[in-house]
Amino acid sequence: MLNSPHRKLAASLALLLLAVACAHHVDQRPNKPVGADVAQTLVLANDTANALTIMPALTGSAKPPLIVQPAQQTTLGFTIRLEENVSAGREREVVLVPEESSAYVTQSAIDLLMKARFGNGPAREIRVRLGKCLFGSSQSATHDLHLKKPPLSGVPALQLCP
Amino acid sequence: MSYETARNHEIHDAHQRLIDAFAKSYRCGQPTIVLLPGGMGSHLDRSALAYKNDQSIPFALYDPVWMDVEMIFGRDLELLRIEETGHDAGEHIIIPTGPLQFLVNAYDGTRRFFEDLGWNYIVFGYDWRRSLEEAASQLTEFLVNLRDRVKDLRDCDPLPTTTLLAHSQGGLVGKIFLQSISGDDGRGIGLWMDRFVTIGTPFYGTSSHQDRYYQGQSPLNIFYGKRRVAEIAGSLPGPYVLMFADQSALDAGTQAKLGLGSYPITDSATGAPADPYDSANFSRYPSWVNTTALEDAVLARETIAADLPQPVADRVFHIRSGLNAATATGLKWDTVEGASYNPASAPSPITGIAGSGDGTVPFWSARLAQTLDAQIYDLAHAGDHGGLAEHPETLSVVRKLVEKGTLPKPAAVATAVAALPAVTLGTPKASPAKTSKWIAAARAGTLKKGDSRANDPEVWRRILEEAQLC
Repeated sequence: MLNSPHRKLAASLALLLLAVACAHHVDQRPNKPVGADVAQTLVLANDTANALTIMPALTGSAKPPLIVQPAQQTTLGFTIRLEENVSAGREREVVLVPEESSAYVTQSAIDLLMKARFGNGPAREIRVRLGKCLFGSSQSATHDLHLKKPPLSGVPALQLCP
Repeated sequence: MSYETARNHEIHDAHQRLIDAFAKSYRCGQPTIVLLPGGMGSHLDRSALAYKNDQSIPFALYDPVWMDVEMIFGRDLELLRIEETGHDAGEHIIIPTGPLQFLVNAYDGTRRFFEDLGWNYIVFGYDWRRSLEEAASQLTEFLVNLRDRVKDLRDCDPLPTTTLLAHSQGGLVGKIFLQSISGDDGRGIGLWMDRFVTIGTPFYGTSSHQDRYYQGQSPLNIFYGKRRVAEIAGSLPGPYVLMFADQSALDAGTQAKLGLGSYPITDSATGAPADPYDSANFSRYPSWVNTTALEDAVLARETIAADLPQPVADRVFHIRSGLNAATATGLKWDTVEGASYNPASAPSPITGIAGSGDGTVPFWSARLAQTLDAQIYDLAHAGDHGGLAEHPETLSVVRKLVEKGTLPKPAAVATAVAALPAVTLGTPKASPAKTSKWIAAARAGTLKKGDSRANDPEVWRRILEEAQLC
C-alpha cells in the first residue's frame, strides 16, 4: 500500500496522464441558487379500484413502500430550488432538493418522478412536470393529482405550469 | 445530493452548452432542424472522477467513452455497463454531449446538407443506454431552453418553424415526447414544432436486438468475448424496448394496419407466437437479462403504440426503406434453458426470417399504424439503415417537405438526387474485407493504438455501424 502523500502523487500523475491522453475540460458552470427554496405539496388521490403502492425513490432505501387504498389520498412534500448558471447565458434550472423532499420522489430532467404499482401490475412511473412558474408568488404550493388510471409511461400525469 | 440528481445537473449543463453555441449563430426566418440521433449515435462522456457527494460536481474533466479508440484498443465497453442501482459503472457519471464525434462524426452529411441551405441545425444527444422516457423528458427541457435562449439573443421563437428529424431509435424518443406534450386534444402543438419526421424508426421493434442477449455483438465479441458483451448489453435498461413489440402493442388490428400477417416472433417448434416480454418466456433468457427492464419496456411500448391526438398526428411523417430483401422481418425462437445458456458453446436460439426492410428495421415496423399512407415516403434508392439519414434521397425528401409542407412526388426527388453525390453525404464505409483485416491486426497486436492506420475513419465508420448494442 502506498502511504497517503504517495497515493496523492500517484493519483495526480494518473489524472495528468489521463488528461493528456484523451480527457477534455468542460466549462465549469456552477449553479447559484436564485431566491429561497420553495416548499410544495403534492396531494395524490387514488381514484382507481386498486391499491396504489408507491416505492421509495432510491434503490436500497430503508423506507417501506407507501400504500394508498382506493378512494384515499396521501400527501408528499417536496422542495425545489431555482438555480442560475454563472456563465453568460445565466440559464435557470429547476432543481429538486432531495434532502427536503419526500423519500418517494426523485427528479428526471424537468419531471418529478415516482414509481408505483397499481394493484399487482408492474411498477409504473408517475411523472409530474415541474416549471419555473412555481417560483411566482401567485402560484399555489399545493397540487392535487387524481389518478383515475395508470398513466402512460413517460407522459406527465400532471403539469404544474401551463 | 443523490447520484441521480448530480447526473441530472450534469446532463442539463451539457445540453445548455450546445444550446448556447447554437443560439449565438441562430438565423431568424430560416427553418430549424433538431436531429434526434439513432441508438449509439449520441456521444457519451464519462466523468474522470467518481461521484462522491455534492462537492463532486461540476466535474472539470470528462473522458469520451462512446466512442473512443479504447473501445477496441482498451476496455471502454466495460465502462458503459449500468449497475443494478441505476448508477454508471464505478460511480463515474456518463452524460450525452451531442452527436457522436470521433474520427467519424455521426450525421456530418446531414449537418452539411442543412447548413449549406442556410438552415439552423442542432443535435439533441441522449444517453441511449437509458430509458426512452428519460430522454423524452430531457428533450422537453432541451426545447424549452432552446426557445428561451434564442428569444433572449435573437428575439424570435425557433420552435414553430422547427422540424424534429429523428433517425432510428431517435424516433421512439420523439414519439414519447409528442405523447407527453400533446395533452388530450393536441391543441398548442404548433408552439412546440412544425413537424416530426422519422427515418427508419423501429416503432414496433427490430429483429436484431434479441440475439445480442445470447450472442453479444460482432466485432465487439472479438475483443471482449461473446458472454461479456451479452452481459453488458443485458445491463443496459433502455435498449430492451428495441425487440419486436409485445402482443398487446402488436394486436390484430395493428398488425392489419401495418400489413403484417401474423405476430413476428414464433416458437421454433410449435409455430405459436413467442412474445419476448411475456413472463412465460423469461426462462428462455440467460441470467444476465433484466426482467424488470423487460417489464419497463412493455410500458414504454404502450406509450409508443398509443394514438396521438389528430392535430399532432397530422404533423407526423415517416421515411422508410424496403429495398433490402435480406432484412430479418420475423424471428423463430427456440426454447432454451436460459439459466444454463453458454454463449461460447451454444448456438443462438434466434433465427431470422428474411423480408423487406433497410437491413436493420423491417419495412412494416418503420411507421406508426395511426399515420396515414399519404404521410409516408418509401425510399427508392437508399437502402442501408445506418446511412439513411445522410443519403441524398432522404435529405431531398426532408428538404421538400419543409419547403412545401407536404411530401414530394418520387419524380421530384429523383431530379434533386441526380444533382447530389450518390450513396452518402457523410463518411463512406470501408469494405467488409478491409475492416476484417484491420480488426484481425488489432486483435493480433500488429496494429497499435498510436499507428496512423488505427485512425482510419472509413474503418471506424463501419465498426460504429456494426458494433451496436441497441
